[in-house]
Amino acid sequence: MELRSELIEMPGEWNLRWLYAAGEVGTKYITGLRDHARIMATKCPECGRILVPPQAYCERCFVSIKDNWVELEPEGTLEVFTIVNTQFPGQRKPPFVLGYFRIGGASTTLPHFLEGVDLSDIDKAKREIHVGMPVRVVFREKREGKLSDFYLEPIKE
Amino acid sequence: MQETDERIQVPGHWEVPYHYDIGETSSRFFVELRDNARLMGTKCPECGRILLPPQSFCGHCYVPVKDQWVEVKPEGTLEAFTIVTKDYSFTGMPDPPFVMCLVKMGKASTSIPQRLEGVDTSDPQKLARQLRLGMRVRAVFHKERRGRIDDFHVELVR
Repeated sequence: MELRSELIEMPGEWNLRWLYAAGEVGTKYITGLRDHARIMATKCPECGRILVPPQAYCERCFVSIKDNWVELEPEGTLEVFTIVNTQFPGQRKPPFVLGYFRIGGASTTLPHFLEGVDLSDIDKAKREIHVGMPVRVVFREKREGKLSDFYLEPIKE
Repeated sequence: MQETDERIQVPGHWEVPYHYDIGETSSRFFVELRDNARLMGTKCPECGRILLPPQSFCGHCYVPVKDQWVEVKPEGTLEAFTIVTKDYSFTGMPDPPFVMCLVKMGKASTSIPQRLEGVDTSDPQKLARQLRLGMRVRAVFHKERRGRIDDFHVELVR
């Protein structure tokens, strides 16, 4: 039998919903955001590193740090960033700025959104946003126990 | 900080639409299903197995079988089934209860998964006792076909 030339592309869709158990340490981090509008981290007593999001143990020193909490100053610096121009399925509408932020003297960086930057002209925005830029943590009025209970914005000089 | 027994669960959601290039052999299967309402398989000239859905090569003999087309009779046997009663919200699936089954059609050597319709699902326990492996089934092709696996379903031959 002769082969028909038509080739088919089959559409598919995965629609996955799940619940991620934040655990003891993650819960304290999230309730800290929600109930107290503060960013809590854990600090290793051996090496002195401050970990945010908080970890239950220090993976360098192999010691439990889950009861060693410190509160972070809600200010920091932008360490790396990208301006997202593409719509990813189920994600927020572009353009937006995704960055990694070093907050309050933490030893680790936190991925988050940088708000308060005019993105109507991307090229201009690229010149305004820079690595090392000082940023502040802004907590939302209504907090729901989500990572998006706060965001970062530039500190204008 | 005050201790709490609260444990947070963070809800997550992935929505991943995609297109899967099904290739020459599977395209033929779906085009035939859509345009001619028939089931086409491939037959291995070495071992004689009939593969449905068609494969481009025989997994037993390692020979290409992609030009060895045979039409498979739209009647066969129930090889396995499950009655889905819980709502898992699988994409593209109906509201439960519904019956998924594996059927071996015509002289095919392989089974295909398909929806079994035309059975009373209101009492799943009762239905589970009524259905038996080996029961005769037939393919029912839908009037409107899009070249998708749900262009047909199977029902019991009474």
